[in-house]
Amino acid sequence: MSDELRRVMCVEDDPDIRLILEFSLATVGGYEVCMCASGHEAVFAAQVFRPDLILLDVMMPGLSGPETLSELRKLPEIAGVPSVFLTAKALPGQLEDLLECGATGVIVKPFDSVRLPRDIRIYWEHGRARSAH
Amino acid sequence: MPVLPTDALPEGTALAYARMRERFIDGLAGRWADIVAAETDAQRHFLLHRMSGAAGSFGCNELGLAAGRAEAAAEAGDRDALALALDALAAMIECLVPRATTSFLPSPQQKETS
Repeated sequence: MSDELRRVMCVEDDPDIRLILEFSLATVGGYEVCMCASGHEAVFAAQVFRPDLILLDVMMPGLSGPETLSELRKLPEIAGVPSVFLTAKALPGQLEDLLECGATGVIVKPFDSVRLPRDIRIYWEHGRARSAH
Repeated sequence: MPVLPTDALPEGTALAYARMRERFIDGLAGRWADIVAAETDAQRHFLLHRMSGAAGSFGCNELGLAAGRAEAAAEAGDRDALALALDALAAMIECLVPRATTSFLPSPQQKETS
């Protein structure tokens, strides 16, 4: 696992959300960002991009966020990469289900574009600490 | 939930954010048309879910809440509540988007009876 959070992969089917994620993470946060419109695209791109953190929408056509994460975990180079779900659903039971999928955290939409870069760094640090134990 | 504080944005990025917001609002008529044209309840639920998730991130918090109420009604299969929530959502979209781009769009109820 890398010592610094630099590369963030986002998997999101909504083009407007992809745009504001890129704005938030690249323009505001200064991260190198790879945007994927589907889970299948993410599985392909992850092997080349080698993200330090993966941000996934939950409800997507084709592969859902949890299904995408499960596929990504099968890639040896991605298996230990911290992941965070983005969801518009915030019910307690649903959040627990998402964490049980192996995600480090869950961020609820709508998100604050200024705060998101800091929030994902906290989750990345938490994910690193967890995998070190 | 956050309305994006444009004065909190890094210098030089407020204009980029404003353009993205404008693009989102310009796309609302198309999103509404897709909701109206949805062929299944599951499709409509999914489209409402997307609008609910996106709107607040562009500072359209009330719209996001209205879409969320419609999404919840669609998920529960409550057709009366859904019809009311969609009417409220349509009214909110018409407030945000120039009337010329939305007034020709049928409501879901009109589509079902036509």
